[in-house]
Amino acid sequence: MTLKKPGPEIVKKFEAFSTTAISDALDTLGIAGGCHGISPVVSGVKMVGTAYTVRYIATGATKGTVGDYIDDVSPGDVIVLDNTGRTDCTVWGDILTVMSGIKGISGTVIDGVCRDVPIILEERYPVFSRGKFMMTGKDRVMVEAVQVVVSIGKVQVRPGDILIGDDSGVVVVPQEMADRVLEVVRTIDEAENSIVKAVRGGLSLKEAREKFGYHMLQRKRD
Amino acid sequence: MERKVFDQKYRKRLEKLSTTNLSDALDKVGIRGAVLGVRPLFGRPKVVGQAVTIKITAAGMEKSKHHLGIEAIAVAEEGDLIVIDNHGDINNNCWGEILSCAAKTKGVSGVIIDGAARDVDECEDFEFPVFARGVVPITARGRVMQEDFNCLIRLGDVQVRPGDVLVGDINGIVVIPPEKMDEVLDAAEIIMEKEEAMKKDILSGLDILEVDKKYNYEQMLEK
Repeated sequence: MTLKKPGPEIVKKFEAFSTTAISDALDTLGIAGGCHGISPVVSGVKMVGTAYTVRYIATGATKGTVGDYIDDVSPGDVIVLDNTGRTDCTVWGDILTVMSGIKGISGTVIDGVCRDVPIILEERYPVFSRGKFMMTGKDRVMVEAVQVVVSIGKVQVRPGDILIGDDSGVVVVPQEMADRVLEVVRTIDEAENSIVKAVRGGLSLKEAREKFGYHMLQRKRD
Repeated sequence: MERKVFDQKYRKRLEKLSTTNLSDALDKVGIRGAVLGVRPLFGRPKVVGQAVTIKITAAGMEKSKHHLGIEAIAVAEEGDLIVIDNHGDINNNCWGEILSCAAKTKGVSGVIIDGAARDVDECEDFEFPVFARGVVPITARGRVMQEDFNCLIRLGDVQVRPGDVLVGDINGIVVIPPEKMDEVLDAAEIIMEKEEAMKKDILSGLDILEVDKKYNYEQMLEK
């Protein structure tokens, strides 16, 4: 199956929803999408975009560099860096942060760690990672491939998949499921809003949840 | 390096050396080659061989073209080691009894996994050495998949290329680049001989302080 990268008109629709609601929608559809262990570096920022993927490998007898891939990333993309969960060397820092801001890149998701956190915070550029550290990845890791299938927090990410990030973390929506996920997330979001409205209006939580089917919202549907 | 050349020139010498001797030699030569925390799941096996590598990634919408491990076994030659990179994930399986049975039948020396295995009892019955970080009962199906084989991988902190030489024992694993083989082996043999001589002196009644001074043990790895 050949995949076509989703256009901005579809991607933009995800901006209205939290990662929480999207994750519940993915559960409903039986899709693994929550990137376990990946957290925001900057709080209060939202990220939505299509994946540009990069895979790293350890250096050794075979040498390489940490890459200049950023020149090929399009505005609206999310840079997805698979450093196989390594927390002992960084693959993102100040120069890339500034460059991404200039290019209009939506954010960066790392199965690994980043450095130059003061600049990232100052720029309020969305970075999601396993943590922060300062030692460089140069001569420790190198780019093995770009625009290939990668793994982030044990979730598969392909070029063009949609990534959504907020203060709760990052979820991945497979590109061919975008419309279906949007359909389901709308119903979940509506139900949750209705429950909040109902309890504010004096209904007990049990009554409100029962009325809007809260406990079944994430249950897998056939 | 040709398998025949490796077997004739190096296999016997490597079999006599422990991973600790080889790790010290790698330190002396200045190569990062020791893999920490990947240990035999049963017994006290000693394995020596050239790597046939496998790389694992998350399962998802994109499906793997082949069942994990089978191509690596198909291309492996007698004496080789299968080496699997699953990024240290101890919650997912990447090796079991069918693969052990097939690998053993081909004369593969063993499997080394940066991750977990299952059917360990069956593997022991086959007398097929399995080195890993852990054991799980669950299947790999739908959870992880093969991304590639005979490719560049990472084992612990160490890069492994197809054809790199690995030695494994109860203490762990070392990876030796073939282009540095002579240098590493020469250094390891000197270290082993020195340690054997030290043990002999101690057993013959010489005081440990005397022995330490005689052999200059602390400075042994200095260049």
